[in-house]
Amino acid sequence: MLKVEKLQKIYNMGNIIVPALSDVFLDVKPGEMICIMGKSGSGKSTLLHMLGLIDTPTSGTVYFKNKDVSKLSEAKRSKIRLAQMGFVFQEYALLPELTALENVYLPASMLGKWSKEYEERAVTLLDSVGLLERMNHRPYQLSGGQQQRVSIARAMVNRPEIIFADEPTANLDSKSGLLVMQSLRWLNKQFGTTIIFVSHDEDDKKYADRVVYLKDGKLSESKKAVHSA
Amino acid sequence: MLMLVFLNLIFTPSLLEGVISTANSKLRDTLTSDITVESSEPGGLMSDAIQLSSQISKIDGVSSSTPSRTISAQIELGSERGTVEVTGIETNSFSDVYTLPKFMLEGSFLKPGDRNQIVLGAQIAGADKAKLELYADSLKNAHAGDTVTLKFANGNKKNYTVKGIFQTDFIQTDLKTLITSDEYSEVLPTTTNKASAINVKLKPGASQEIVNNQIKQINSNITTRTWQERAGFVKSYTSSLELVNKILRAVALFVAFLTIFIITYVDIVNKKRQIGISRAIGISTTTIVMSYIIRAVFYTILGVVIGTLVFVLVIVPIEARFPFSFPLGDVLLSVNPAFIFRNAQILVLVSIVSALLPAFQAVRSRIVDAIWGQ
Repeated sequence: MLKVEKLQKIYNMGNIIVPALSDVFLDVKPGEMICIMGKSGSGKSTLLHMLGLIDTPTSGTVYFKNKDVSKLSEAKRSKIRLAQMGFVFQEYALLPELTALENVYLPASMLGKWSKEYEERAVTLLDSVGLLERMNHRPYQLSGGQQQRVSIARAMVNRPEIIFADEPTANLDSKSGLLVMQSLRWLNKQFGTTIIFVSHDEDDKKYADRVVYLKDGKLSESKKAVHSA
Repeated sequence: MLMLVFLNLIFTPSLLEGVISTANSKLRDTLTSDITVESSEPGGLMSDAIQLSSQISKIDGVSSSTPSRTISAQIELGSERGTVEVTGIETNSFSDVYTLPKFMLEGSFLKPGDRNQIVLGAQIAGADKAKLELYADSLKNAHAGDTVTLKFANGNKKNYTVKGIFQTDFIQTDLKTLITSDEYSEVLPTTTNKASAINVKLKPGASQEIVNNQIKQINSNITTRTWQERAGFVKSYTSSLELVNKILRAVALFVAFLTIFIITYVDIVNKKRQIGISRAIGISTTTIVMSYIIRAVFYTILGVVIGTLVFVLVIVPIEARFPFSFPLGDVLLSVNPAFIFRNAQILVLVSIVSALLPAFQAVRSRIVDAIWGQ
């Protein structure tokens, strides 16, 4: 599904060179739910951005469905992100002017799908994350947990093969965080969607099939998680 | 905000347009008419003036015409004296061409058959109005009912009762001295049924050029001058105002550009993260840029519509009730739909450019930087 080889990312901050990722190898199988863990500044989000084609590596290769996508133009990467990937950000990242329903079907409308079809799908997704009653509310009228579940529904609306979640529970209380992680796990099980999420909360390991650890930009460990969720 | 920008863009030009329009209207309605017909010989008189005027009035596009004769004279009231141009007018047709009888300050205007009576412009009479521009050279305290003495250039001398005094606030007009045509014929019998000028008023929308050509075809001994050709100082006055107007419009447009640019720039800077997220989830940069352009155009059109409504329904009626007083008289704001539409178009164009630049800049940054708000 997704594979990176010898991935390296170096940030050049004036005269200081900061290596964010060094020689990272990772092979993600279809339907896997992977948790990327590590301390703050270890390069978790940077790796997620590389995998999600949001950022480009300094060197190394990113393969998506066996194709090298690391050197594609921004326009082509944008099309892949829109049609085949979904994203959940730490701070929900909903458009404040739009309702929950509009936020969810926005990426689908960008694919030029028939409005009735994607609206129905958005309603179904909001229902599946328990927000049917709140679909006409704007983000400021929703709690943090509810906003994050809207962003999960948004990530799913184009039926992506893979979802990237960058610390989706970081800003949530434990109850809301639980609901969000359960929603992600449910999507993974229900639709076989590959999910890669970043977390620094040890409790989140239980939702993952596999946990990878990043330390100082290096993938130091990779092991099977023990499921309890 | 955009409503105020639009009002700023149209208010001052409309006011200056109003000044220009008032100046031109007063010039045509009280002094030059639309076309002045004269003898092709300098200072010459046209014969069969009544018949010629009648022929001119029948031309398609002509509303009316009136013949007149002019002679220099010295005017006296007590110890005050001055030199004036006395014009003999056909009172009926004069009122059809000029609006001057509506500007009576004292007394009334001349009527057919009025004898031994004279109507004076305020700048000649003075009328105890010390604030008049030429008061020092006027009769200072001539009023309706007073008797003035006129010594004509041909040596004739006659007393006249001042029937009325008019004040148009247009200095050249307010220097006129009028008597009836019959009175003029008594002073200068040799000029009976002759005219030094025939002034022509056109119907609204009539072509000045076409009428001008048709008048010239009546008689080879006549020549014509349009009101623009006779405008003189008014022409340089209005030309200067037009130049000022253009400069003010350019400045207002620049201010509009800066304002819209700053509004859009601040808006986009505040939404940099949102733009980054939109890009991250796969929304194309073209769509994002277009969305900001559409937003800017939408708000601009909204501002233009509200600004136009406020201007037409609030500012113009209030200004009409409490008009600005200029030396030429009260000035009304000029409401020109084509002018408003043109400015609206320019403002929309400016808003597109103003939105395009920062939006384009925002989508050129790295997605990660945008998400992190850098």
